[in-house]
Amino acid sequence: MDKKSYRKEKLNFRLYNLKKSWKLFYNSKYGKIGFYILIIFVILTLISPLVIQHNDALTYIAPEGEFTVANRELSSNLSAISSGISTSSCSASGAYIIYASSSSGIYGVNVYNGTTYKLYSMNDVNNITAFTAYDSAETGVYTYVMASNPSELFIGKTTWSSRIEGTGTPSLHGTLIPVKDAIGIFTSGFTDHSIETNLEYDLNYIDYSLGYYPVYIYTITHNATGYYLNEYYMYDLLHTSNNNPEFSEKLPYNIKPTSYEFDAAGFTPSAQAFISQGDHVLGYTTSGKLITNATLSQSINKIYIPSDYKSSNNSYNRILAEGNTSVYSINPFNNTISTIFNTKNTITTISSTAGASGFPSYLMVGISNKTVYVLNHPNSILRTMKLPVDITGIYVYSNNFMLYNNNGDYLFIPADDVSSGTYVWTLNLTDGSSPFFFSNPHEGGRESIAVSYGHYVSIYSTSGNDLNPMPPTLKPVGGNSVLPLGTTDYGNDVWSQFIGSFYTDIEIGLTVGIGILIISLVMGMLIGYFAGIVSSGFETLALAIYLIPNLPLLIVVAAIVGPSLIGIILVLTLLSWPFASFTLIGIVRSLKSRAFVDAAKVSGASTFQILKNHMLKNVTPILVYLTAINIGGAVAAVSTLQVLGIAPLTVPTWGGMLDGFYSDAFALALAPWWFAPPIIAITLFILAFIFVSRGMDNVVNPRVGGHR
Amino acid sequence: MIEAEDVEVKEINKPLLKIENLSVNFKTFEGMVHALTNINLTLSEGETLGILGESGSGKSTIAMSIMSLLASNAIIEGSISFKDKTYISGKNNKISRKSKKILDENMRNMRWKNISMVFQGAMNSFNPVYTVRKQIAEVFKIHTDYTDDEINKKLIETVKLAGLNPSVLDAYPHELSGGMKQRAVMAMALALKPDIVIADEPTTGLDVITQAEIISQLKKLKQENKIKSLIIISHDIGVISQLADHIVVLYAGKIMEYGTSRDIYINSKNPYSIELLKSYPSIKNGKKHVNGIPGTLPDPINLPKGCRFYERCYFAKDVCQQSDPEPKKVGPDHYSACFFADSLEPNKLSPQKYDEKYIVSDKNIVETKDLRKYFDLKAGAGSLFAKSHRFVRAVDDVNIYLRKSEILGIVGESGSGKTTLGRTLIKLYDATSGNIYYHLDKGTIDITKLNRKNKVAEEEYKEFKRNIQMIFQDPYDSLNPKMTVFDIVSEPIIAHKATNNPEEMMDMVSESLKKVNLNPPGNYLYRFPYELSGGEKQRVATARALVLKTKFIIADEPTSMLDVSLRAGFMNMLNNIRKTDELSVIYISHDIASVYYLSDRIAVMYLGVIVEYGNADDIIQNPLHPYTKALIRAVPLPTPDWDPGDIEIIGEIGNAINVEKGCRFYSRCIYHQKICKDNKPPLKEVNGHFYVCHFSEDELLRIKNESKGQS
Repeated sequence: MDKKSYRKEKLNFRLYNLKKSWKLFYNSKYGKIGFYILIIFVILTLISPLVIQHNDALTYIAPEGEFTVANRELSSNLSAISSGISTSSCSASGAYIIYASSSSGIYGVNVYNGTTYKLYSMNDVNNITAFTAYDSAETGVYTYVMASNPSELFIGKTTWSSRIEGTGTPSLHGTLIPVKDAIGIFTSGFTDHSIETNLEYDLNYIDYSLGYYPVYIYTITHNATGYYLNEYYMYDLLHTSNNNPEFSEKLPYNIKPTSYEFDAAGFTPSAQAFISQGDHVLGYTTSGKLITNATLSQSINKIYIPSDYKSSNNSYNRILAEGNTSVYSINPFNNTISTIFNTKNTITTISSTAGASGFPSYLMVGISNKTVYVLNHPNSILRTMKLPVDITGIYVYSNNFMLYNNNGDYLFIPADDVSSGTYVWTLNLTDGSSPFFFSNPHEGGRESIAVSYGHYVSIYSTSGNDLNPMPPTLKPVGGNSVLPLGTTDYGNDVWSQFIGSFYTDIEIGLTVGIGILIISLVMGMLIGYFAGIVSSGFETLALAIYLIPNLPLLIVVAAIVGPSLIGIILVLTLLSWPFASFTLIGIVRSLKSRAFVDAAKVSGASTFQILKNHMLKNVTPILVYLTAINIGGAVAAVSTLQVLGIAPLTVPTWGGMLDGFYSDAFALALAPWWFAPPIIAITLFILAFIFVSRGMDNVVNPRVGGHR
Repeated sequence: MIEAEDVEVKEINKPLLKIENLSVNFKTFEGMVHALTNINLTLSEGETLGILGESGSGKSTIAMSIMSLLASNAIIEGSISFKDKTYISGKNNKISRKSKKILDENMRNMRWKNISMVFQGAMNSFNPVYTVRKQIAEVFKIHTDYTDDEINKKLIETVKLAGLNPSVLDAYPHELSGGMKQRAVMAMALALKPDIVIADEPTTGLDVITQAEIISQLKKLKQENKIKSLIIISHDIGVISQLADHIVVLYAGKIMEYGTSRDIYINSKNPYSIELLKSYPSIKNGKKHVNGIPGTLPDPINLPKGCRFYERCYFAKDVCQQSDPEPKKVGPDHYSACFFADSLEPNKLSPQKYDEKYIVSDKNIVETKDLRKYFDLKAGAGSLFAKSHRFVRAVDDVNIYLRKSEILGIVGESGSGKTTLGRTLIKLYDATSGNIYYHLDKGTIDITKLNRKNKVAEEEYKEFKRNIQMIFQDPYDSLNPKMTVFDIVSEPIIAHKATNNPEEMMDMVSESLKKVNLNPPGNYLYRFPYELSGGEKQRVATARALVLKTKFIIADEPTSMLDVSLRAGFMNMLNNIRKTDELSVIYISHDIASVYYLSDRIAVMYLGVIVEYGNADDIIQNPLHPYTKALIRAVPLPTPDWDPGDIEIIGEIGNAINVEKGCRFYSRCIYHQKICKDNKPPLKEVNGHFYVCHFSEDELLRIKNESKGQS
């Protein structure tokens, strides 16, 4: 027999024995099940890099996208179709009533509870404006309503039955002014003292000693001779006299005015009412004197004055005018004109922030191809925003922008998002009116938006309704990826954590299992086979480690070592070897007294030979058995520490996933998608190793159940 | 008077226990194990039935069937009746749970009250934390309504019955010797005066002298009718022959022969019985060659179609392979399951002569001088502060020598220090004092001076190790279950670096396996110990001992774990090897017959000292030391005619801690005189036959006669 065939025979024999052992193992139901579970675990571990979605599973947070919808706070059914709404607040808490005009009169909607009041009967009201003015007779600020139909203009004051705003029933009392052929009505609203000083006409009945807050009401009328601007002066629900205007100035051009605006702060030398006529912008003082007459290169669609310009007199105050493709800035002090924006498309609307310190922070220009430009300086586009719809109007309030069009589409861009964000919510209402911002006392003075459509007046909160569900959630809506197992309470991807844990946990289990195997083998042999001071010393050490309650010791040591994977592995290994060692010591000691060890000694075998051939061979099956148990045990121990939050790791583990359950016991019931996978995985993993070890039992004790 | 006798005769013939067509099979993963096949037996009142068979023949299964204590995987066919009431039948397997419960209830009442059993190894089945009293009293408490006082009376009665002093009742089991424990177990079995007592291997594991005592106790009880009917189960032909009226010979679950004791021993009509009896060496036959039976028991899962003994039978014909013989009546009350029962030669028990005398060389290979081995008793922390150490004087001042290619037998009861002597000789234990000289090819080595750490002596140490080997008592224990036969046998080769060449190693291993009759070796090389039978295992252990062509082997009870039919084969093998290889053997055994059969010289040990040594024939035929006399008288002869007479020894072997100042045998010696107590007996010689006693043969005879006269 040559050397080769001898080796081959020996190899064949080993293979045969391995096969036999495998058969024995496989014959055990437990072993079979455990083996297959392990195979599944190994496969999942191997493919985990492919199926893991986010490698940074612990820090990745599922994005929250544009998943905010309009949040309707209140909706009230009017008995008539609304044709427009307005509101004005006369107190710091805000506006209590939304005024709506309809074909049958003026309605009020209580912002608290949606109660509707028919405040005034008047046919075919087509224009309604609420404003705040001082009533010297009653010495207080009141909300006034100005409404018109083709023949009359109504001015009324809202009073409450309880005399406290917001409680009781409101009522509207006022006077009617006959107006013929009005094509536009506007008011100065609540002006301040400065305007008074500029009054050029004599008002005999005005008691100068009283606080004097004039309100001007303008109408633009048209007759065969041309277009007229008429000013009415209003004081304590009265206008000057006999329904006649204070003045009636014929506009210089025979073109239908397109836009009008009142500027209370006043450009030198007076407050002015601005009217656009074709490509002209005209400015009249409150006494009817034309002091501004600018001619632009395009016909003007809209005059726009930033809100702070209207209330404070600054040298940088300008009047913005929107042409078809250009936006102009007019300096009313010297009538100079500059173009601040040009585009190829048609400009549909402009709006801006308040402009408290020079050029408004953001000037928003809507153009016809579903785009909005935001300018922060003249001729400087900060950003271009694409919108889903064309817009025709922008309402701005406290730097929040409400974009809308005639089709009832509304897009809300909060102040914070103008520079870089996007609209946070959209809304579509059939026959929706222009939106109306107001301070909502019901919401603690925060802005709300009122709109009317059909029979309804609705109030929407500016913040919208965030559709992103609170984590933990099974269905996170944001982001481009689908999260199969939802999120944790921090919005982390459960699937990635779970899949990522396979590698870590198996790594921990195997490393600790093999570590314990090596240490306990060395220790078991040393302590079991040799007798002496050294081995007694090690036995005492093992006993000491074994007797200290394991979990508290683990907790303390883990806390000292800190949250590193290697630290945890070391701690587990160094604390768990005594149990396996004691098992081995017992076996080695009993083997030592077996006759075959004596026989080997008689044969002249060295100690190493005895340890290798006799001890190791007999200990191997139990070692495999112990290692299998240890691997499962290590994973269980790490999981325990992780659940308790004592050993936070920077890598995902099943135990770490269960930590959330420790802080909120109900989470288990509320978010099963989060906890069920790691619980099942840990259980199966540990069970698999227990099953495998039971299968190994069949190999170790082959005659169990066989014939004796 | 005549009438009374007639009544008694009638009663004896009345069958008490009847086993009909009993077959027991065990369902296991590997298949159906056929433990018993078609057993038909009757036990009459007052009869003693012996069941004789090797291990694996189904002896214990019969006992367990009678007690209805078989494991749950047993499938029983046939029936067992007690006093005409059938309590076990094959149908019982399929009965409902409820009726099974009733049956179990009945059985519980019947066990111990009607049939009681002394289990195998029962002396170890006492619960160590209860006193003997409590454990025997339990029997009464469960089965009777006696008050505590009555129980106490009964307890003393039964214990006396078993030949024990009532004081043992308050002892814990570990305080009793093996023989006392066995008696206590017997007392327990006799407690309720059962109709039938089953004794399963009642003497196995006991020393010869204790065995003889137990046998005579059983005999006495039987004669006094304290035991009404007895079933005695044993593999030991001698034990059975002493007790049984009728004997059943079992082989592989089948009754081979049934007959009276005389039928079986003198006039056997079955080849297996004949061979079995022949394979048993006895003192009477001395060194006459015994053969043993070649081969092993058939696999109980795949039983052969024909006669189960076919493969091992010297008388086998073709017909034996084809069909299984039915029991045939060959005489009154004598049945044999053999086709050729009538044509067989009756067993004359005197086959060939022991072949030519082997001449032993006159050169010594091992010599000891005042060899001592004391074990320090250091148990417990208290010993740290103990002023004087106590010692177990396991070997005390032993001077022996072993010639080249000689077989020296060492006999003695357990505890006499035989094994310690053997282990000290091969340095498994270090000697306490004295010298052991090995006369090897390279010169003489005193191994007591050898030290592993002494580099100078390393060569000598290796030389010594290469030339000594040991065969251990238990082949199940001395072979590593995880190693193959090749690994086991090649271990000394690797240890001594005899060769690194696997080819050579293979050759050496094969040669060694051939030497121990494991043919062909290739069949055995890659088998694990559990795949071998007991005899094969012991051969593998021997092959390991011989693989380096060792000069000296210590065989420590190598046959005690083997079946009777295999012992002779092993001993013959050992004898042949020593002839061919000039092997020197120290053969340690308590089995005096086998030591006599194999040894050239015999040394008798008692409590660490050698009390007598000399030529084997001299020692056995003409023992001079009182201990040897008693020992040899206690060995049962396998004939029904043998009568041990009185046992000429007192009590049991003590411990070797507090030995007598004078003669160690003093306290047990029936001849002891005042002089023996304090004076060490001198070594005396009669024609090269040495013994240690104060008295000569004639003086002993006189003392005996005097003491007889006194009583």
